[in-house]
Amino acid sequence: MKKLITALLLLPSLTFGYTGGDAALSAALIGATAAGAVTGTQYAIYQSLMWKELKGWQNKETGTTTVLESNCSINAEFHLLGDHRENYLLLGIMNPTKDSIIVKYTEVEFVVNGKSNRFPGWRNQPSDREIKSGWWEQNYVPFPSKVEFADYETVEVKIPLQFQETKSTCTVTANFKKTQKIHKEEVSYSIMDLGIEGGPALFQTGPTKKLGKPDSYFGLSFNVFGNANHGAGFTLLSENGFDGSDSSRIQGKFSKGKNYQANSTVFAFNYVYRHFLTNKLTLNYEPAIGWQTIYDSNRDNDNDNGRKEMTTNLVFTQKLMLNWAFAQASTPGVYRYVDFFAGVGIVQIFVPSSSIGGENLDGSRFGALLRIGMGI
Amino acid sequence: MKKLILLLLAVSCANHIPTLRSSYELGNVDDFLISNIYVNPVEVDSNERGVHIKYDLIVKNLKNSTRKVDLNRSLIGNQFAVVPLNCQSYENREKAFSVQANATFKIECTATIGKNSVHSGDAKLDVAVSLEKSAAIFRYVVRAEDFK
Repeated sequence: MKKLITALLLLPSLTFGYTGGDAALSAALIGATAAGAVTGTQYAIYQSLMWKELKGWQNKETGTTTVLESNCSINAEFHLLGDHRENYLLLGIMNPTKDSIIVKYTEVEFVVNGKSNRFPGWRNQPSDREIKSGWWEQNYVPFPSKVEFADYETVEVKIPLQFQETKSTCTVTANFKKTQKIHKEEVSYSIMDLGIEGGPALFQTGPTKKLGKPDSYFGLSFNVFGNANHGAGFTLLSENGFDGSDSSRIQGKFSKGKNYQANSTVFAFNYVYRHFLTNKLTLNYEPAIGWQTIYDSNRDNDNDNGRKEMTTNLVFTQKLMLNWAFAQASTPGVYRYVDFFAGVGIVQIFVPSSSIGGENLDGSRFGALLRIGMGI
Repeated sequence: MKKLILLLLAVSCANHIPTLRSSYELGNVDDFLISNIYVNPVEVDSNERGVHIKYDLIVKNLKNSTRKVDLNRSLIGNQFAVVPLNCQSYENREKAFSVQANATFKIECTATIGKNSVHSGDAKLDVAVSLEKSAAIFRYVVRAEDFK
């Protein structure tokens, strides 16, 4: 809640000369507010309006969803916003009265299509809020279901108020009408996610077996989603512990010593298809194209010459992951929530053409992955 | 603590300490209910010619009668300089028009403040948007670094 200049001040003379032609204009200073940490909040609300205002509900007079109301002696504005998780109401209330008002968030109602009463989809227990005389506040009120929003044609918002001193009550209402047909509301738990992943090697097929079975996989993945189902990103994956045990020719290329060892680093750009089994459970398919570099990582070699690159090749990878968004935390700012997810799956690294020391190393390597990540 | 997190988030998003230029206002002027929520509170465009200010308002006619709005007399400035504020309606790009009873409309205003025209350092400007018989005035802060 932030302070607003309490009343509209009629200025008999402006700070600069204002000549309005024949009819002298009176002027009202709408206000000037203090900044400080409020800046972050106000900018986040502005960004929300720029990025998240529901397009199917914008009216032609303003190109926005704005509804302004001045009843119950207070000023209020309403906007419809939505993101990949939910649709919600942005509410601004200014109290120009001399009495404090209580906004009864616990009793907010929506009337959908003129007949169906729905309550907000609060994630946390809402509390009623006091707005003192001359103050204002902005707040978000979530709709109960984003999926069913596609079937909404009209929404009436009812915000009950109570005046502190007189105890009288009043309900501010705002009416929205859909202006475009919306066939389906897409819902997902993230539009951008970052995960770390690792797991044991499973098996190999083709000549690449001669490298020996790696011990483990470890890496990270980053994806940005254009809509609920499709996205793109990159993956970085390290395979550790190739011992060249199936080929003396490969071993001959490794550093001399008792512990022959080579590692592989794969970097690839991927597409991701995300199929929602439930709102929180997805099956991700992530095909990718990139490069692998196999390098000798023997400890002695590290000390003498650093890591010695042995070969770099084009690779194709694919991952099949079952992800579960198991927790959510609210955050300030535009995205409002961070989701945490865990996943299990398998990865295939297909190498169409590769060799070390004349030994053909084409083929596929498979591993199991456990992924932990967060998304916004 | 929460305010600190909010500020840090805003800083990380904008890559600099955000400077508030225009405060959120929702007020009543001459039976017009006005909101400036669509004004960018932090960012401003500037080039060698000066600072380019964009100021959008959502306005509702609270009277139960048709009224005439004339945006031609809109101004921006301070005691050092006053320049015209170019305002028009969003729907029909008109500077003077009639507004039906209880109708809501959007006004889009722009102005360019020339270098050194308002002050040598920071300046508080008054954005005056003429409506029917009155003008709604908002404060807008420009910084010395905007002109560099």
